[in-house]
Amino acid sequence: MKKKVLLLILAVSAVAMLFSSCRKDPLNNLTAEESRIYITKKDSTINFINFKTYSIVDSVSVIANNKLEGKMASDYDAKIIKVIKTSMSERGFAFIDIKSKPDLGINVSRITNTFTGIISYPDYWDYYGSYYDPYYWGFGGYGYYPPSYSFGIYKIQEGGLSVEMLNLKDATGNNNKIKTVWTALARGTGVFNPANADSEVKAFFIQSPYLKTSN
Amino acid sequence: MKIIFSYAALSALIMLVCFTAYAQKPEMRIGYNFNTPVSNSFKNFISNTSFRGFNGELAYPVNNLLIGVGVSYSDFYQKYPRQVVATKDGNISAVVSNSVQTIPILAKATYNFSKKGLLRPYAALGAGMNFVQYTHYLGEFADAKSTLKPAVQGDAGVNIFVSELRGSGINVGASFNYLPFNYSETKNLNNWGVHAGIFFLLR
Repeated sequence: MKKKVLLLILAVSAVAMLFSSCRKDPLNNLTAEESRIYITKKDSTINFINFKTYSIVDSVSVIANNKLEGKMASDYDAKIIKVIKTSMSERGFAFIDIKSKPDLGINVSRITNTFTGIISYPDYWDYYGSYYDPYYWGFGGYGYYPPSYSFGIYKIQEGGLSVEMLNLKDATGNNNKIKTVWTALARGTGVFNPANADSEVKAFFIQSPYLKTSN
Repeated sequence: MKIIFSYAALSALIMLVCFTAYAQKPEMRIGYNFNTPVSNSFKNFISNTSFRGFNGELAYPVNNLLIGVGVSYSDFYQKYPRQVVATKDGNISAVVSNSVQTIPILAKATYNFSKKGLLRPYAALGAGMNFVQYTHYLGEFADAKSTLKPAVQGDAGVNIFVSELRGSGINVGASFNYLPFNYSETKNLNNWGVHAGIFFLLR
């Protein structure tokens, strides 16, 4: 009797596994554009009307396996920076040189992780202070103040485009810390393709209507 | 509630094992089924009807009853256009795809209302466990959960005998699947479906 029961359980399990393999795979039904996600987050205490000027890095930080590999300015990087400038201008922000003390600073990063395994974005924020140079923004000796929010639930195995907006205007008043007031993240197939740079940045701004100032 | 399900499943399994020992000529059923979500909780996640379904059943005759085990499979899937979803601190723009596979494995008791004639209606009740694969995709990024939950099924239909001598024919019917589930916003996977297939005696 035991043998029959065991055979029955095995047969049922085999059938269940067979059925399970009949699943329609949602990933096969996605285009590269559909595979991408755009996440934006903001500091809820900030009103962007209070900021008028900004500056942006001239190259992109390449962060691989939680280490800053260096700065790059590939076609993709240049396009991203250019589209961010255009979008910021459309929202009323004026681009000025870093030396002219802008209200906002914008960091752009390409994050890639090539090792086997899964890391989460809180790890990225843990290293945040070591990726960026406060001297670049004219605040030597200051620390960064990563946002209290994070992309925590989204685990990553590959790459993502990350854009962070820093509050330079109030850095001194924030106990000598440069506070991050807006973050944007793009992930998915073809995220580093130069042809997608425009749509990625536009997506960030479309879903952040509060990102505007008055002239 | 879980205890009731567990006892029901265990009792049915014990009955099955006991009857298996001496019963003769087990009946086999295989068929196709399509199922549609009925609860708002499930419909909010996936409202599309699943047309990817199969079922199988092995049962032993005991008087007017058939006692056996049945397994069925339904693959529910729905893709939503790109949308911006508000989160606590911001927004996520993504094409959302939802996917659920239910595989109830049930101990079943089927009552045949008639022993004669070409058309023989029946009603069945099943209880057991449901293997669930749940996946919520934002773009290509998945939030997945696999779990085993209780399951109860009510089934009614008619057996159309093609060969009474061989005990084979066509089966059509409808079933309701009560499938508790609790993950994220989805509280259950209740659905009803229509099935059609063949049955025959194993010799």
